Amino acid sequence: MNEWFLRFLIGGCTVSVFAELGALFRPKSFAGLFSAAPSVALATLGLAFANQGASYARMEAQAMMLGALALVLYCFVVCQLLARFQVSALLSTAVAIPLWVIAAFGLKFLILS
Amino acid sequence: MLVSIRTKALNETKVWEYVVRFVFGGLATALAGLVSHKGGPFAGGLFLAFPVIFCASATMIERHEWKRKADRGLEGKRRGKLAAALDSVGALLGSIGLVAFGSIVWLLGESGAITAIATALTSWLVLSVTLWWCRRYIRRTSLR
Repeated sequence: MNEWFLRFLIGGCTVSVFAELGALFRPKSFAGLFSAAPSVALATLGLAFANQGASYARMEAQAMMLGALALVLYCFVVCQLLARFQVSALLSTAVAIPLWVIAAFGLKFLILS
Repeated sequence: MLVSIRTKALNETKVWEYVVRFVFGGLATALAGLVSHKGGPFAGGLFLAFPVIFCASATMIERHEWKRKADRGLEGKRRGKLAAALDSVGALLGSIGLVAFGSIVWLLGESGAITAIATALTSWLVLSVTLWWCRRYIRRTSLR
């Protein structure tokens, strides 16, 4: 089976499972934990361990920590846009994506330099 | 009760919403693989925490809450945004757990895939839930 199709299939399944788990729980702040579940990471790291080996997967996991730190900042900004400024969910999550990109690659640049 | 399970929520999800989540998840995983392939594992690894799933879930939560209020004849747009904001608070705490997930895989990677990933997943869950509980406890005691 094509590797990209396999990635798509595994990623789609893990994300759907975590999304449904999140939908089941109340209160909403608890359900929100599942919006930051390692669903993409489970699929990608599993394939990286199987195809490229442990050192490659460890390097991906190391970078993932920086991406997750950028995600903390992203969630904080989205929360402020929604609660304080009453921006719609679609708009606030979309306009904050460049911030995630800048924060993640900025941290990567800082670490590597 | 601190946390409850509401199975009725599964009936509120439309077929197209399942499809959107599946496609978003699949595309995000393929994107992470593509970036790793072109830019190396360090660049691709960043995308393991890309917020694409959160975008989809926050939008759906806002819509569900707004629709629930509208069905009762109430104006639910503000309520929908607040529900999505609460979801983002949880996602923020989950992201801190995600840092722990990455660090455990990095530390235990040489011990084997199953050991590293299973320990990391458990750490993510335990840390995220603990942080959520601490936040709730602090908010409750400060309101008294």
